[in-house]
Amino acid sequence: MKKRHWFLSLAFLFPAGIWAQGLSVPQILERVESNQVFSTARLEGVVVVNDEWGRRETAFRSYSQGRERSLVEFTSGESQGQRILRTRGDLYLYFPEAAEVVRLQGAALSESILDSDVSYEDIGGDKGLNQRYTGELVGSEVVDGRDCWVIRLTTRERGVAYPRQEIWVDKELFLTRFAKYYALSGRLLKEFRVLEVMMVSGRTLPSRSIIQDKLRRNSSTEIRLNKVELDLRLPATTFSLGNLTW
Amino acid sequence: MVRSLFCFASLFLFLVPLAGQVRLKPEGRLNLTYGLFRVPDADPNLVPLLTADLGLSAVSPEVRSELQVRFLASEPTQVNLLRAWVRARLGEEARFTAGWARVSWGQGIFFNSGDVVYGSNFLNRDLSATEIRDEASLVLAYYQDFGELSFFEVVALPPALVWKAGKLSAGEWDSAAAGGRLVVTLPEDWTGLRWETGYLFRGEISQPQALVERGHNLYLALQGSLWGLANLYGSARLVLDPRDLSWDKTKNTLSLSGGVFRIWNMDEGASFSFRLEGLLETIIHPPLLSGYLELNFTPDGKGSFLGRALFHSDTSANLLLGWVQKMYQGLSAQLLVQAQLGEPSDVFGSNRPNDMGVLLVIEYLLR
Repeated sequence: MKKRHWFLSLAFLFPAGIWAQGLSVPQILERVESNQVFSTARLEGVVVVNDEWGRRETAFRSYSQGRERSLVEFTSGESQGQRILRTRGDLYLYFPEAAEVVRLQGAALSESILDSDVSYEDIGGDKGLNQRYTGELVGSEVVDGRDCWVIRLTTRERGVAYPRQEIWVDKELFLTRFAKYYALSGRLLKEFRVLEVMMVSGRTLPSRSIIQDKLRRNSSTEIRLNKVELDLRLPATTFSLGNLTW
Repeated sequence: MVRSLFCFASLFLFLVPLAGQVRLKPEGRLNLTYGLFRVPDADPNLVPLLTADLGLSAVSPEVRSELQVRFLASEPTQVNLLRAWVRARLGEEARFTAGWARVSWGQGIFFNSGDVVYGSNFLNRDLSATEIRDEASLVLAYYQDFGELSFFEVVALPPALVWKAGKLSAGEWDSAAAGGRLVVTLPEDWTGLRWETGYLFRGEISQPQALVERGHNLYLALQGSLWGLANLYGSARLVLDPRDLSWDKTKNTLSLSGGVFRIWNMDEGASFSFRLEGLLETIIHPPLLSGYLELNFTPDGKGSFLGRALFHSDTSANLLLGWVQKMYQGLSAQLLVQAQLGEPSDVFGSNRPNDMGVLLVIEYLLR
């Protein structure tokens, strides 16, 4: 089973038939996804929110399986003990103080996680983005010293969080180095940039990346991965309500 | 109480080391509240309140436990147990919980007819509370997953332990309760509804301030989405009196609650949320009809406007308006104004002590 981890995947697409250096846009995107799609993964890291209040760090641990399933637990900070479960198109939050499970649907998915630049809808999406977007190769640009393809994505369906995207794909590593996310009106909503990368099991992953919600003032959220394990065995009940409320 | 706490703490400390790879996490919350309340024909009532919640949790792959204690600054210092439980996995799909823990059943923030454990409504609840429903009780619970989003749970609620005359003893056994619930989530491509149904038998009304009913409590709770625009939820409960199982008697125990929640996100990090809940209780004569409205406007992420209102069918209301300001990491300040509107004989009424007040709340959360 294939899977994509949520904060490795803040950009995505599906191809059109334009060719770049012998690769079609669909092929480029497939190569990008192969860096971000795992059978299973276990990650540990830190979310660092910088805003007008200063800097807040929250450690997390997460598990994921396939495209559909992920479980995130915050292990420090004000949200310590809170968990997010995404499975079968559903998203559930667990608040340990009230022992309460809240199911998020619809507009509530646009709420911010940890008052950061990342929202719950950023970790949603059962379909691959390549099923939801049409891709068009716009050109090439150098980003942070790396030669990248610039690909423009346009949604194929209604109700997606970001109807338009532009992504800059590293031509050598097949990694999304930089991405811009737009509303249907063309307004820029978010930006994503990879700051550092790491190699794990032959795949290139962003070990440090930063997200900016352009609708928030002076705010950015950095995600650092400290530990990554891929293709490990996870118990069948990892992505269950029982484990969410454990 | 202190000796009871000692017993729980001993149990906690004894059981936790049984598990390997234990991680201990301390946490705390400090809350300082100054309340100035109106007293008709007298000087205002100034109420300072200082509480400190201290907690420690221990987590291992197979066992976890939590101890939380609240200290209330008074003479003498009051100590209350908030949580003290141990949970153990029984294989991959089941677990067992024992101790002083919360049992969270049904759907609803303020009104919840499905909460047959702690009650459907809390008309006497402090509207300024961070958590409206945070009760806990002595509980033994078995939880079994079947599938990712479905499970059943069986609970027994023994009488609370009482420390009296230098001796720890169980409370009245006819206040005990036992039951279970089944939660099933249907696939999104059908109705997408989350169904929950449960049963609880309770011997006596152990919490007279809440509508916790004696007898066989049956409930059904649903949660879903209105075309993605708003979150909808509702609960219904009937109580069967073991001494009179007739429908004539049972139909008068119907309790219905429901709610809608919606949030709008705007530019510059602003957001506005709206929650409206209602409750109908027919076990009371005349039937109780209540409403709860909660509005929250956050203009920039630094602070937020909070409005809460509780309405009663006798046309009285309890209102809370205020501003919550984040000051630093984990540190916040709240300035709240509370007022009761209604006749003196109503559930909420003016011209009675503490019918209006101003509260300043400083809170620090340490984790």
